[in-house]
Amino acid sequence: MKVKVDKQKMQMAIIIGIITLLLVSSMFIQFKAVDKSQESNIESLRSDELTTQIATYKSRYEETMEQYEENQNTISEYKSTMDENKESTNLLDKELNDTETLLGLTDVQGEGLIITLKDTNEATYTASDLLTLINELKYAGAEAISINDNRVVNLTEITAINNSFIMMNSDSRISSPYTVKVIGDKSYLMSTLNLKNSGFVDLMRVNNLEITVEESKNVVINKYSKEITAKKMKEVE
Amino acid sequence: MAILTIIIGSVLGILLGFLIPTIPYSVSKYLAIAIVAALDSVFGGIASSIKKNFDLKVFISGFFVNAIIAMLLTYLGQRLNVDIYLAAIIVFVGRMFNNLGIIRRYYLDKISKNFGKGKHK
Repeated sequence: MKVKVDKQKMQMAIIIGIITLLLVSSMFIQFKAVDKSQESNIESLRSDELTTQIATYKSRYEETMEQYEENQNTISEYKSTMDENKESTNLLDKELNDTETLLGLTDVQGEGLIITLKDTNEATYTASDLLTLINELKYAGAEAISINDNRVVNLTEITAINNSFIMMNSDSRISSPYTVKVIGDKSYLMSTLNLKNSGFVDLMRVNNLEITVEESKNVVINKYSKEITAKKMKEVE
Repeated sequence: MAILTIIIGSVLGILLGFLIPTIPYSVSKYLAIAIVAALDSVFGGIASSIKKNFDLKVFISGFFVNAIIAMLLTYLGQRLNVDIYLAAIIVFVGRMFNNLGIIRRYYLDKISKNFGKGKHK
């Protein structure tokens, strides 16, 4: 009986010990967890602290957002300025291009005439004939002219070297047959050249020279091959 | 005998508590409520042993079942977004104070009886 009671007591003591062990160990685990979370974590903060922190973050967020928007506006301003600059650059480019085209510094194409002049046994073309032709063409509204692929620009001179050669653009010798390409209104050019009696075609034929005029929808004229420089002249200010 | 096992259990528990790696914060909430429930059971056990109606089965079942149910209720409260664990804490802590009151009164009686012995007789 006594032994049995002791056994029961023993059992109880052991169970109580185990329960104590469980309780104390879980308490210490919890202490450790709470300590650690208080050190670092936002999760451990009380709700009112959290609320103030959220408010702070919110205001900070709003500030940042404002700044972000400002920056965005500045960026878009810069962008629009850039676009404007680009536009003006494009405009300048276009102007330059147009000017070059007008000066004869670019290859051009368009409707016009191809005139072929050939010396015959009886007569030869002279430089003044070519000049007359070019003058007539210019008068008729020619926009671009070349003789044997030498572009006629505003500085082009045409002079005779001897009986068989004509000098053009300072150093290009040309000789018969001459192929003159013209871009311009072809019917206007045609009618100017073909004027009865006083037209260029008739004048040349009277002098026993060979001339053929061809219409073309697409005449290609190469650019002036040299540089145009101004050494002496300056713009008047 | 019981006191010895309590001391051994405490020492081993402290050691174990320090050896076990830190549990995540989300779990520590459940552990806390389980601890409160277990403490309530312990004080209830002490109080009942004072009243001489201590039953080991009731004590053990109260210890574990209360802790588990408290944890489950906490979980349910979290799912429902209602702080049910507050109700559990109020009940457990209230009972703890009740039992502590019983224990306190018992020992007060004991002490005053001892004093009274010496004074009146």
